[in-house]
Amino acid sequence: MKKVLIVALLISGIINAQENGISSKKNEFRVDVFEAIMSKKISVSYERFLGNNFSTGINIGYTNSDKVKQDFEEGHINNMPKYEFNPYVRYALSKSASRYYFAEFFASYNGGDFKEIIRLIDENNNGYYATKVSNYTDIALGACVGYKMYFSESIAMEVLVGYGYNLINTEKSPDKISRVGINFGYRF
Amino acid sequence: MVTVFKRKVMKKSAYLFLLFAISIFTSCDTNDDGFYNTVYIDASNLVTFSNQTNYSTGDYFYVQGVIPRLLPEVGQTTPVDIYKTTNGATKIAFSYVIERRVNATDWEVVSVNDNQLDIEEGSAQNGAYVYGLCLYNSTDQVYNYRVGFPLTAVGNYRVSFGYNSSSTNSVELRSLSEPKNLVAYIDSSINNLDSSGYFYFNVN
Repeated sequence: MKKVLIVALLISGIINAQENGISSKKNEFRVDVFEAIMSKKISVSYERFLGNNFSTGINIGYTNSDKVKQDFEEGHINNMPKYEFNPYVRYALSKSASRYYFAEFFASYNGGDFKEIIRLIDENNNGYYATKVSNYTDIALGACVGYKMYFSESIAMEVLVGYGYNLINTEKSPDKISRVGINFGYRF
Repeated sequence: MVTVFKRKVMKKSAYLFLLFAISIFTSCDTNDDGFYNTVYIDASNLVTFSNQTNYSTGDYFYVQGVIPRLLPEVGQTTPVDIYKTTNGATKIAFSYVIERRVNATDWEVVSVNDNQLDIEEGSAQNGAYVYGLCLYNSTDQVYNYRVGFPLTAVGNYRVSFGYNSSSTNSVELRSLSEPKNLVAYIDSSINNLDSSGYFYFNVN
């Protein structure tokens, strides 16, 4: 019984020490490996821990996926998202600093290419249709939930899923944007 | 205690995976679903057939397609150039079905070998329906099709053009465009069809 108690105290002490170590580090950089593999999207994030379970940060993404480009050119989709800047605020839902669920609210400034079919008149005064590609930008608001865990006080892994809705230019931009990822990061 | 802890972890992981999977499957939409390389054009009488109602065995039932490169377009003062719109598509496809009555209420699709079809212009394949291709003639700048279907047995027949379409009194023609080019989707009304989309004739 004594041995069990000692082991429990020891483990508790290690966890507390680790949690204190994590809490003392206020900055974190992350890279999204899921989006990199699945969508050939470069997605990097910075997070600043403010205390009282709150943190804030920004995520920047850029994609030039061949699959999306092919779908766009073959007319399966009429817009091709390329970049996004996503500032966010998070609130940790669990007490532990080493592994916890969190809720996130984010805004997104996003843009890409939009394709439409237009009617033109040729030199013989005959009509014909052609595609016209233009740029779009929009602003979205959304929310995510996620789970984060730390290894060795500094190595972070998080999974997050969420959605946002574009608000201003939805005739050209996607109605919905997703914020999905498996991130690995370093806290310092 | 360890078992309970493992169960909790597994439960949490399962929720996360479920959430993740749902997200992946629902995050593919980048706007309304649809086909954004298609141009829709209304026309009339691009596909015709004889309104003759009595044939003899050994005759052919001919269907003809004549689609000019320049089509008048509703709401426009200038015709639309199909060939230019599709970036030079040389084939426009459509389909129709020829059936023979087998009893008071039932009809069966009449099937013949492709080599039995009398192909004068364009090309055609026969199976559950006749798949016709109007081929572009660069000299007269028209997509042409004229194919005779052999009537080998006595009976009551009917033809319809709605096999691959939702319409009863029109035929849907579609340009076979290269993947990145625009597709012309032409909805052309057809004469001589009844309200259900059939034309009936007899083979004696």
